[in-house]
Amino acid sequence: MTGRSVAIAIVASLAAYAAPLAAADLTVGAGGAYRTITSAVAAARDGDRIIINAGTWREATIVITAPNVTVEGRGWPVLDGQGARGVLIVAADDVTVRGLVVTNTGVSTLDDRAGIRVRDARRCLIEHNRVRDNLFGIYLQRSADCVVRDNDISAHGLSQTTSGNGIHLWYSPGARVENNHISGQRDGIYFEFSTGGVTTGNVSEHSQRYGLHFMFSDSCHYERNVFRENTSGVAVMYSHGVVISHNRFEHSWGAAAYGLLLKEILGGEIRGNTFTGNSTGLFIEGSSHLAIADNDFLQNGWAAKVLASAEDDHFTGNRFAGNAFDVSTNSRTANSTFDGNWWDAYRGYDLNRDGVGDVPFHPVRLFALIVEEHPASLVLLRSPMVGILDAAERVFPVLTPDALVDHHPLMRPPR
Amino acid sequence: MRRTVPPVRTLLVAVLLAASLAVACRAAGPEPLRLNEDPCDFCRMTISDARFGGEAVTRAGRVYKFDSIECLAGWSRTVKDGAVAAMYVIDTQHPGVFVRADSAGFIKDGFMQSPMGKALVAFPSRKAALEQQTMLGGRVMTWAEVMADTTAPAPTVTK
Repeated sequence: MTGRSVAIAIVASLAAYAAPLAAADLTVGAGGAYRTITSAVAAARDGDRIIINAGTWREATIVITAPNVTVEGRGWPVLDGQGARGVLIVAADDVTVRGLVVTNTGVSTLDDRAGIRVRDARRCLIEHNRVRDNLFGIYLQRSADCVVRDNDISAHGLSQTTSGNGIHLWYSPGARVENNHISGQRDGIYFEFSTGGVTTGNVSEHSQRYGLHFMFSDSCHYERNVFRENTSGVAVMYSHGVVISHNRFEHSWGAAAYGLLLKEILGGEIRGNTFTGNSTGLFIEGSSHLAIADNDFLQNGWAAKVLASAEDDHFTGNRFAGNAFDVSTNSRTANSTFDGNWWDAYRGYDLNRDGVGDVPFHPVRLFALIVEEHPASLVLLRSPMVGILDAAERVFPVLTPDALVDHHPLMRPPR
Repeated sequence: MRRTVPPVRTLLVAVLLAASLAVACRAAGPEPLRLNEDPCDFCRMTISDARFGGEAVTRAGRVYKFDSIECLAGWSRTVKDGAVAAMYVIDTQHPGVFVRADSAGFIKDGFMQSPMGKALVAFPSRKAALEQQTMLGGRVMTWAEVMADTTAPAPTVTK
């Protein structure tokens, strides 16, 4: 082998190794080699890091197509959609986006514009961004196993007629949505056809509609989130096997507002949550095989409305205090059970001192049934006549559902 | 001699009166959907997107509101034949504008999502839907086909 061919061989092998080894930093803005984000993104290869320095960047929609790229802001650079377009699209696997201010997509009736859209990409990490006044904030579309955490998302300047969701998942299984703060969007967090997700530690408030909304999303967990002052509360529908635990559902007030609305949920746990100050704390329709345990229902209009279409749901260890109505239903035939809850309205006694009341408690007031049939009668809530009616019904129950009886009411609150 | 009112005229007046009463009793047509306020009368979700939705007006004049075409179709399966006077859907290109469901054209499984997951949007006519199909993709349907297709709120196929 000649010296020349050896040199060629060495150079060739170096070239082959150089590309994956030298993951480069591509710096945009002050002191960097790139004047636009677009040019840096175009130059980025697998594993590169794009560092965006402070400044306001107004460019065509930025599309990341190289895998394993990190986009990182330094000093909160602002990416501005100028009211005309989506700002950033991730279209490759294993991409990280952090430290950006993403703003001003403007509204459109044709496309669901998003501040950050992840499209057909796996294992993305979207963290520590400030997402401001976009139609949709962060939109995951057919993107599996992504993490969205510690983002601050708000939209307060947008119109009522056209608004999008804060964190929106569509056909995106296995997502983790953690410790985000979302405010002023249509729905704060929205899951559609997205299974096996975990949503924890988020605060979702002042939504135009729901703080959390999911449909057709089986086997998801929602834990330790706070949903408050959302116009219609929280609605979860058409899903199997959901776990909703240790969340707070607070201050959703209005004719069609619910702390938590469950519709067509098959199998799951509603455990350790607090429902405070809602028109209706928990509304259950067409949902079955649910364990509703260890929740606190405080100062709601109706603590729980359980429609006859809800089957085989079990309430136990819950605390009911300060509600205008504890339980209401729409029929004499009830298919759910209450056992071992604490009711502030319970007037029974405990002669054998086992902590369980010796007489059963009927949580459905007669008046609640009347209101269900004739909503206008609610004005009589404080009337003495209604008090007499309820007392008479308690002694000789003729109209309230037989099955909706707690045979083991607790004498002391469980918490 | 006192002049008597001719029977024909009496009859005419009576018919006119009855007709005007009938017209007055009948609902004029669809009512605006109040966004983030009105609940859907089928799925209970609060209606929030002006590009989608529908209404049914019953012969008794009651208006039912829906957040999506799929909910209107689902609801209409639950009511008696002849109870509904007219059904309307939102023209997706003109948020808030209603067109009659039976003369509208629909696109399913195209580029646009809809509130209940069936990707179902409406246009004023079948012709208008065909024109949009080039951009939106999906398949063009009539109201009868939408009704035949809507058996359950949940989609049967997972993408």
